[in-house]
Amino acid sequence: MESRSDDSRKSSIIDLDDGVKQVKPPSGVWLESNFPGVLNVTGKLSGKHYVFSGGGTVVLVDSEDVEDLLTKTFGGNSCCGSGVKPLPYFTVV
Amino acid sequence: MSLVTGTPLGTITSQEEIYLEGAPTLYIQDYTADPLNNPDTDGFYWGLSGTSVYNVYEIGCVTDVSLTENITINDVLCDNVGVKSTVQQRNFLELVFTVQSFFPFTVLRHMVKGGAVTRTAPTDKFGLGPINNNLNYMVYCPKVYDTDVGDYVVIHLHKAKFVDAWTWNMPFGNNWTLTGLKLRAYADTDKPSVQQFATIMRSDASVIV
Repeated sequence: MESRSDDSRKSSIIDLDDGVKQVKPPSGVWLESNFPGVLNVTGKLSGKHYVFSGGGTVVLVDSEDVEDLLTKTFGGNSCCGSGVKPLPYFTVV
Repeated sequence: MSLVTGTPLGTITSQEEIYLEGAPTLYIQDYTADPLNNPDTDGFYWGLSGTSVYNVYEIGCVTDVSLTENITINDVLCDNVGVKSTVQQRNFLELVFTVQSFFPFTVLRHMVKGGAVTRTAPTDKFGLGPINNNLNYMVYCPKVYDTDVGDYVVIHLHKAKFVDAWTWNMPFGNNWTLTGLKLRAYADTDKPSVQQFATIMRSDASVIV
């Protein structure tokens, strides 16, 4: 059920001498959203805007934003004593 | 308590002096997900396990919770002797409740049959448009009746849908409530026929040995 954004999926292709091309893998970390909805977040350090279109969506996130994003949680302040703990917004894929 | 006289002979099962009180906790999850026990070692389907794609939602602060059934019932009337039997068929179960928690919208939107939530700090938004009739939920209702030892009962509805019109009450000087919520549980033909509508379970180590 994972879906990846086409833009973030692209690897960069570098032209070397003699017509040789080197494929450079995308830099960053793939994060999967646990949030059950569309989630728009901005990287604290890079300032980049990331859109997760639903729970289970995987997006390539700039390495410098990962640490901050992984600390973010949602839910958990349950009203009725069932003890549900906050969930992280993202998990590393 | 034994009667002085008149007790039936033979094997008799009597009921226990354990009484249940209060509403269970209600959880829902998209029907597309598999139940936690799919099935368990006894062949029963029940329980939920949340994933990033299929979150489990806890419905908060419920009141006026009741579970009813809808059946078609017809008497077999013989014109010479009267009613000789009654034919019954179960149509669906209905879990009716009122909710007093409105947040987060990621839970509320399921109950009011709304669209997906978009979160952009500091806002959550969702719309009310046409109702998606393809959304079904598993409903899991555990009730712990002895908190010291963790004895509990569970009602698990396999395939339910929010039906009927809700009412959003906004009284002055009192908390908001969402009334008219009704989860109708249909026959899930993917399950064994004896548990098509629901699985009901009790866990009590001191009694069930």
